[in-house]
Amino acid sequence: MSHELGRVESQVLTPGFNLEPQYDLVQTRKHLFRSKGRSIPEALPLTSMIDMFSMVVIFLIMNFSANGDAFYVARDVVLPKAKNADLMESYPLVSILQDRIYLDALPADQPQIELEEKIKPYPKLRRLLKEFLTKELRENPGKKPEMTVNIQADKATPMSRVREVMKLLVEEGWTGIQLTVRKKYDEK
Amino acid sequence: MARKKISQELDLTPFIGLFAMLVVLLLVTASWSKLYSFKTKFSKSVESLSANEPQPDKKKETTLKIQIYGKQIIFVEEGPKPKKSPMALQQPLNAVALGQKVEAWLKRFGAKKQITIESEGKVGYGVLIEMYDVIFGAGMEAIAFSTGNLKAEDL
Repeated sequence: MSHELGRVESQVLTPGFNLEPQYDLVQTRKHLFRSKGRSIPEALPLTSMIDMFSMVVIFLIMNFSANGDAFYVARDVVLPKAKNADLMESYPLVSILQDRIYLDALPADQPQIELEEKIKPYPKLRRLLKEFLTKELRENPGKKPEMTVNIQADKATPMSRVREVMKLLVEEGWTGIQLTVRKKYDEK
Repeated sequence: MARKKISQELDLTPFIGLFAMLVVLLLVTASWSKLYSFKTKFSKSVESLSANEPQPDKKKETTLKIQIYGKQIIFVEEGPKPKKSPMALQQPLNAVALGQKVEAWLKRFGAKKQITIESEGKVGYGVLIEMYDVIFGAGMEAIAFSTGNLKAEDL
């Protein structure tokens, strides 16, 4: 401390925010004490959401299909698998289980018809198929109905049962029978 | 006078709305579980459910049959030179061995030769489908199903 007559130079320094300079967080101080006039944007950054949406849309476009939808698979049915089958088309569906037969030939807002058919010659199924055909002819006069049905059955269903139903369908004129399966892919 | 700077970036906000609608539409219309089928056409002759419009077999011609019993499969040629080739029935089916047998028939008789599948009543539907898959995959076009059930005593 130097002393001159009438004048003292102070060497007392105004202390900083921290005694130890290495702990001085300069950027934090700027952030806390910056001017209040600047507003912080509160909007979410959505740039990456566009990328996410693009990927989701591409994935869903690849899964889009005009046919082959599983419009109904009975709860107790495990379909067999096959490699060389084609995509299924939409026709009346006859589901064959051990003790029941389902017929899905109605619009989607109506439930499937459950027919407890244990005994030949399956009168309920014959009657309903005739009713369906009559309805088709009434709604589309002049147009020959496609006499095609889809059959789905559990892979353990005895062939005798499936054969009986197929024979019934052919007798009733439903000669186009599509055997529903799931796709089998090559095991690597 | 300073020129007003024009932003050159595209405004992507409506893009997000468009994508949101697209995602919802595609989620509703996506097909998550596809089913497949074998398309067959049967003739009204119920003595034998003949799929895919087979040719009529004459007595002098060879008739091809595949008989599925509980534990074996028999490849039968009926005609001037009858022949039977049994094979053990494995679960799942030995598609390679079956395919070779069918391909041998394909080479000898052609793709339009009818093959009739007969089985015992208790044989599962899955076995029939696997057999049909092998025959169809080998290239045979005329496949028929018999209306009656085989009996084990016929072996």
